[in-house]
Amino acid sequence: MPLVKTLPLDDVILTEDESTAVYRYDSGVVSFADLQIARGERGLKTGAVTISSSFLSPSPSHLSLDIVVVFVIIIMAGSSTSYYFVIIGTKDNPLYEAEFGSFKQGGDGIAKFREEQRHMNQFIAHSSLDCIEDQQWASKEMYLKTVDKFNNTWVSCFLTGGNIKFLLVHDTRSDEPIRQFFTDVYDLYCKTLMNPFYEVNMAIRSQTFDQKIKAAAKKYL
Amino acid sequence: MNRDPSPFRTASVASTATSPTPKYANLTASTNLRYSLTRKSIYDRHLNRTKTSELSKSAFAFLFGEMVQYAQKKVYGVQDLEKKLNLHGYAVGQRFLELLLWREGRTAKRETRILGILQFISHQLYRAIFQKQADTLEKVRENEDEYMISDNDPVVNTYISVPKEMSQLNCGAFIAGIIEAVLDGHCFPAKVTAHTAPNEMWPGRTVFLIKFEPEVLEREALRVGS
Repeated sequence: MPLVKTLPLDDVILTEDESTAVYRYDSGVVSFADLQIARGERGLKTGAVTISSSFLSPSPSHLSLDIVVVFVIIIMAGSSTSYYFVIIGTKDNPLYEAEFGSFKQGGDGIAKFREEQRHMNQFIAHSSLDCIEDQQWASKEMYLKTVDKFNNTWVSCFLTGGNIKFLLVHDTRSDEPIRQFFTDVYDLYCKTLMNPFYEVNMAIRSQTFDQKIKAAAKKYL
Repeated sequence: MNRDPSPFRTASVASTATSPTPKYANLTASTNLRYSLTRKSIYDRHLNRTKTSELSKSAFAFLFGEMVQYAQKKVYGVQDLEKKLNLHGYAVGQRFLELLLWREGRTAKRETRILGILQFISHQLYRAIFQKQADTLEKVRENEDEYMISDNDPVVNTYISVPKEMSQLNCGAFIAGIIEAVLDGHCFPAKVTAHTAPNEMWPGRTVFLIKFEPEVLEREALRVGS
């Protein structure tokens, strides 16, 4: 990753597209709050800040003396929330997936995931399946709320009676609208299932289904 | 001759041949398979539309009888036939389960215990299909993993007469398939079979024997402990 802008204050270094900042901290214990402050002072884009990895590297200025902790901060591009939605079948196979952005707060409904985040979403959704398997026996509810968290992304799940999972990867917490969205999806899924030519675990390729899902997202998310 | 790929269109094509109306002729030429004549899809139909409507028993008996006959043409023996009927029922059960839970709305619950799911089957599911509860729900005393649901007079068997050489056959296998699908859907994998078990009162009494896979009992035991 090319580091082009070296900013003197607090040693915050930004990448070219300002999507990632590296923050060097020389002494003491660094907290998440410190990073938030650093971000505010630098006037970085308003977006979620995530500490994605921390690693040790020798400081060039104190070569033999000290070891500097370097934090990589990922700043989510854009200010509106983006969603990744996927339907998982009974054999952990994906049946349908979609990405959409928020329409709330003047959003345009277009997902603003960065390229590397898009495939991460699939991994996040996939890894949450284990958490669901744990939690599905603890509650009788179909809407399991948020089941997993990865950095600043949450995974919400709705589990149908036939063990079909609706997963939504999102970066803001709001249980009620998501529940309403899932209820609409369940309605659409049941209708799909009523089609005698559709069988459980088949991929859903209907254009009407796609349109109706997007409409539900526009209504609630 | 206008060749139409849709099997559902043949009737209207035939009718145009006898009395050609320009309206139909137009449609067969321009519409594609994706849309019905009204351009309404399955997504425009409300799921509760058929909730309270009933099917006449004779129509059901006719269709079911045809289904059994059709299945019979393609099998080698009684067991094979029952398996086929079971599969037909399985497809119904998978759909019915989701529909039933959808209709319960916000109060819908997934069952997480063996007893809960069996009660769901013998009460809610049975009532939704046959408008009555199953007659008994019992546990097999000798075997830890076996349960029985019985129906004194299953409606599927009412108009099916079984020939002597196939006395083993019970078309309740269809219902067994429905039960199996519901159990599978809730992650309680089991084998469900239908057996004729007459008593003095009910000569057509059918018992559905449910045998759970070992992992179900294992999980249940863990849950009791925690």
